[in-house]
Amino acid sequence: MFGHILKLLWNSRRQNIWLVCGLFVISSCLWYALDYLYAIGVNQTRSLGFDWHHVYSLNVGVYSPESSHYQSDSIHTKAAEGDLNLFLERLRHNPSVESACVTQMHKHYVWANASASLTYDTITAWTWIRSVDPDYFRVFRVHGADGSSPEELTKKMNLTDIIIAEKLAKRLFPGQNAVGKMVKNHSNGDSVRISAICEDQKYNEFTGHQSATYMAISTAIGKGLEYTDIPWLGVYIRIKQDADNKEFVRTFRKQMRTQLMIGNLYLEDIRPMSDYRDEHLKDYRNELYTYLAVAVFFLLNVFLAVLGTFWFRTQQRQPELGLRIAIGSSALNIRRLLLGEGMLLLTLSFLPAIVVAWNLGYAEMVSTSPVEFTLRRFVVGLAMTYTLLTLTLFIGIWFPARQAMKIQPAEALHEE
Amino acid sequence: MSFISIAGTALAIAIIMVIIIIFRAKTANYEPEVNRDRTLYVKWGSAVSKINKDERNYSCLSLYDIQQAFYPLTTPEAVTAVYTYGRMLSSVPGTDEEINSEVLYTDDAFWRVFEFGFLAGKPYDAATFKSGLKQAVICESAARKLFGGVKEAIGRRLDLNFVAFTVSGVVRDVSKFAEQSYAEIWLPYTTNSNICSINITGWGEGHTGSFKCFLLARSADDFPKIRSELASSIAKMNANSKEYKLDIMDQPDDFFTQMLHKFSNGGTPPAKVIIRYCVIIFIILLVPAINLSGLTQSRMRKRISELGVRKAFGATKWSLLWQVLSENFLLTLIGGMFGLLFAYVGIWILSAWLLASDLGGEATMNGSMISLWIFFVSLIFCLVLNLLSAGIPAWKVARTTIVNALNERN
Repeated sequence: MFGHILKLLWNSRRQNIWLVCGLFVISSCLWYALDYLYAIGVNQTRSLGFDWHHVYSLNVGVYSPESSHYQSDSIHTKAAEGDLNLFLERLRHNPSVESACVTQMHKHYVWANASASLTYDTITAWTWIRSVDPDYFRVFRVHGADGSSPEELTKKMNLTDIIIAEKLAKRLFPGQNAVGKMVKNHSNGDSVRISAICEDQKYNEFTGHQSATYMAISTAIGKGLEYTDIPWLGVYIRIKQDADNKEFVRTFRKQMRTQLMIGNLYLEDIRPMSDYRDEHLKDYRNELYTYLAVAVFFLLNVFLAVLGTFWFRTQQRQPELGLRIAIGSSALNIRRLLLGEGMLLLTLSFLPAIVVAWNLGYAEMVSTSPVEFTLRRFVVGLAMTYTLLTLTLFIGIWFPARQAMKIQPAEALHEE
Repeated sequence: MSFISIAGTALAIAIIMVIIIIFRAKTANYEPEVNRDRTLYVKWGSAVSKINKDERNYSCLSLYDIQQAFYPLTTPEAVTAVYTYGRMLSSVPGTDEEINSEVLYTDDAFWRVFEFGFLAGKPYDAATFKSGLKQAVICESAARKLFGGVKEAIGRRLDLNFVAFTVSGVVRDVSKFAEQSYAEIWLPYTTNSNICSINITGWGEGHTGSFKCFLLARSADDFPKIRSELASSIAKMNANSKEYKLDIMDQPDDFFTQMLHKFSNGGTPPAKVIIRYCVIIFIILLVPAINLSGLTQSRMRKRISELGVRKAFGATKWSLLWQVLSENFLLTLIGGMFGLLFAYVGIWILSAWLLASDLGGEATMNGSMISLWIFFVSLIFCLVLNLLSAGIPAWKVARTTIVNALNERN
């Protein structure tokens, strides 16, 4: 059968060369797109490390001197810290709020960061430095690396200690337990104790796990927090699941509007985390959709090319196919013959595509961060490409093959 | 068979046209950015130490920079400075209606550099701007939400972050593709003492801040003149600073360059983007062209004896070539028409992805997307695709000798 099909293909090589060329280009491009999608898929299986569902992000506004609500320092003696602490307290007292926290230089899904290096012994490692209040772990449901609950992490956070992510712990303390060890923080020169290890976190769904260090933010009075700092802080609330609905922002606003006018502070904006997430992920998603569109475009092209070529071929080979039926080929035989031809053509054009793919991967022309280009990824990518192309090929050959099987042997032979 | 050719063409043209239409929508002149082709943009600034080149920041311009080096320019028709504030809480006293609106602080020249469609009222003028009177221009949708109508908004009080403003004008909503002028509420920046304060002591000596500056030239031919005038103006300002100077890093940019200049410390060079687009479009054309070539060749082989007869009766190689190409062009044209149609349907259905704006959210489809220009461009791409897909088969057919053709040997 195999040799027979090969002979058939060779005999109509002039016609087949177009199809082989087309399939080769498409196989290479499709592999590239599918490899990208596979890498993203693999990364999705790694945990995000925090939970943004039912979390709302608040902006705290500060009255400007132009506002009639503005209280100058002479009449308003309570400092910014006092106002902010009262603000948080009132948030926590709201019946639909489960927990609330404030963060500095750390907002999930917003590009606002601070980074520094930590040193232990001779090892120095880079890390994000995130100032948060202890309830951060409860609001974003961040668990301990050992599986302990967010509430336990919250308890372990205090002004003198830090909590670091597992990845950083592994880098600084290979094979050792990091809890209780002292490290030097290069951002302020302090030596600090590690009180706990939290689970690894991604920056967002499309990045790998990153090193992070959590320090307690100090909102005690007289610690230097100014009114001008407040609009830059992140204020987050986790609300109870049954309170989270489309009307939440509106009702919460109406409820809290006057309650949250504290000193020179007011509630400027409240938006669900999903808003920030959508905005932040937009570019990543656009790229993802582009690759999906490219894959669909190539598959449609394969379909049309195969359909066209085989449609024409079965028409042209009617006498031959008729003769086959006349001398006893069943409909199944004919279909198998045509599908066999298609498969062989695809395989022939797929071989050079494998070489191209390997070279692209080897030269790291594919995206290798956060998912490495491994043999496994290479093989899976090729398998996916081959399977999709085969499926498309089958659909493309199906209609012409059905037509071919309807041939009356007498008619076909008559033509001959 | 024809159906397959048409479908293949439509697919390729649809994708190319989606790219072109979106590209056009992002770069063409339309309200309020009607002067994009004669505007220069300075979005970024960097304060550099005069002693140590490595000591620098990457940021935008300060009001001090703009007042010292940009406003005094004489070659441009108008110079405007803007400050993007972000979302402000807007409320109408006496009602409990509160919305968050995007606010852009501007000067009065802003209304000359950009041409907004005023539905009612007028923009704040130079006198209002100078004296810092609290007047606001708001967009139609904000006016409807807050005041229930366009005319009703004029002269009414509007509280923005609890500061009282008076609405002086209402403009048509702005597309989010108009990134430099987009906002929902526009205010004179002189109404905010925080952003207006100038401090030339401390790091950077007052250079760099959060302002952007746009220079409207009388025509694009003035660009080199404006660039050199700006350079000498900045040099003059820098001479007055002791330790730091302002570096505007190859700016001012023209519209296309600034669109890719997304970060203060750099952007994508336009040439790179153009090459990338060309490669993408080439691949999108090439793949269907190879497929269609196979089909065209099959079709021609069926008719090879007909073409042989023509040749026997004296048709030249060129006339045969022309015949095959023009016959094929009809199919390509039909495919192209469907392709353009699919492109519009695609943009409409996938707007959340295709019309996503850098400002967040999505831009609406607008008039610039449907034009004679677009139609003409798709025609050109049809022609190219036709040449690519029928060129080789036509050449082969035209070359076949009469005897071979009549004997159906190709």
